[in-house]
Amino acid sequence: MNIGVCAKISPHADARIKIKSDGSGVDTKGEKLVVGDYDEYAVEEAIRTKEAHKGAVTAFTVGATSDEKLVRSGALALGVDKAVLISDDAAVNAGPLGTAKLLAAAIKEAGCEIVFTGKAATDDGNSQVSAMIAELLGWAQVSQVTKFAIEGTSFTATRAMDAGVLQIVSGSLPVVITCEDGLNDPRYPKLPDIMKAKRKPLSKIGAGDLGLADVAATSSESNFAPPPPRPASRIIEGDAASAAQELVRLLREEAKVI
Amino acid sequence: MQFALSEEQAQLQEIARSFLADLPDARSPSNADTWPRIVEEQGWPAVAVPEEQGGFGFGWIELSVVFEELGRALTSAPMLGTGMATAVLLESSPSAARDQALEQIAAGTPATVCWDGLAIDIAAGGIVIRHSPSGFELFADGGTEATTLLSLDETRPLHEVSPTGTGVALDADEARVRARCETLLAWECVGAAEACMDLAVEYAKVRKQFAKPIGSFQAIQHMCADLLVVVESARSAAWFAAWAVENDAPDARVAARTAKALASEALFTCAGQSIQIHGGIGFTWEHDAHLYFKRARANLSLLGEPREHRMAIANTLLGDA
Repeated sequence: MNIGVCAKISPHADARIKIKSDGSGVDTKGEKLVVGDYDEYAVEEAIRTKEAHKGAVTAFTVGATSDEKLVRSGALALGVDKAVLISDDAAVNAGPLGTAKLLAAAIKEAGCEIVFTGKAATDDGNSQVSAMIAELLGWAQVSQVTKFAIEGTSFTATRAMDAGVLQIVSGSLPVVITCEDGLNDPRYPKLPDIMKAKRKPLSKIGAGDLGLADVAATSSESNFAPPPPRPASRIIEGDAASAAQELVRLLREEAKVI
Repeated sequence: MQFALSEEQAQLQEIARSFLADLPDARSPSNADTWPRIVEEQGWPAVAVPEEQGGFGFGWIELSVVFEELGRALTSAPMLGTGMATAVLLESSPSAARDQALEQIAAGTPATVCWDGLAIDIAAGGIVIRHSPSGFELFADGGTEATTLLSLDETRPLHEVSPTGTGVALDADEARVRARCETLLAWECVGAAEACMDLAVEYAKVRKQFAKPIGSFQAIQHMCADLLVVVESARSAAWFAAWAVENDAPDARVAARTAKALASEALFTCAGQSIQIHGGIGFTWEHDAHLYFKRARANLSLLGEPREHRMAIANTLLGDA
């Protein structure tokens, strides 16, 4: 089976996010960068699918040239067989649709039968690219998947809906599976695999190599700002009955949440 | 000499730290899941075992990186015993028994070395290598019995081991074996010492007295600064020891003795001072400080007290002067 996985390099989930001085976005300088949290589930599921059904996994990343090291440590060292890093200026400046176009073209060229993606990137959390890839490829997409199985050319996926409701979806390959928290427990790489990852094939290409000339973002983002500091906690004095009354009053009149 | 971890070694360190932080209840010797997970998910017993015996074929530097993190996490997994046994086997001439034992270790069989009748990391079905004045003996399929002693360090109990059968003699050079074992123990101490320092520093930042964090008081600042000095001194000595044993440097034994003495003392200092900085909470059962302190005391004695190593270093350096 020819399996694809999309992995975006983003700041670590524990990173203290800094805003660029002009408010144009997140400043990742000096931040620890990794394969994004949800993309880790996608990588793990792709590898598990390979282990269960044989075949090979290709990782696709749109990002900076310097992301090579992180693709090797965050995907190739775990069991992904090869990687495609789309990393020219056009790719770096692509918006969600441009990124999806690049990934879809690379996935099509690689001849994948199934592609795993994370639910959202850790940095911008747009949750757009997976659906766009499926649309561009003319494939089905199943989002928020927490359980997944393949039998022959059919798949069954469990989706986590709102309010704890689960939906079971069946269909045929090809498909884009968008991975949700809880789908699996991502593995850690072993030392020999870290060393082997250095020698695994990784091709760096640009938008032009995929026959795509214009993938520039069609929208822009501005006025990024950190959330306001959290006000100090308040302790409500008094017995339980009067404290509860006061708490309800504060929630209703000050916080305006009930 | 410029000494820095390679990119891969740095990655190994990061992975080891995250992996151990995710292991539930890794400090309890009764947790049966810790060792299988270490073996299956990370394969650390195989790190220094040659590829011919199913190992990863790396050396004492990579193993040192792992041991620093094992110490930081204060894990009860029998890695130190297994690392010491690996050292004995690697320093012994090839034989069927020796090669088979290395294969078993690479596949995840825990092992240990029994020094002067006492051993840590005894495990059911594990390999025991017994040291006596006449050398090392390998007991790979039983042939020893162990009695668990009342141990100070509850995360790593001590056992009295006696042979009930005949072992296979191994011709490892004791000084070379001890240098490798001392280096691993030194690294475990460095990791645990830094963990104690980190706990103390974090606490000093949040615990307030007189409406100020206690870390703003000069007395606490000096204590924390002193901890950093002993941790970094121990780390430097441990790095040199790891490099020296890996490269068969002529002064490897002196380097390892220095590292063991400095690092075990650094851990004892950091564990003790961490309790002082934590104040009341530091000597409750609920806090980890007492576990580190007990490991610190046990590690001071394990593989020789610091004063014994200093005496031996002096004798080596001064000769008959």
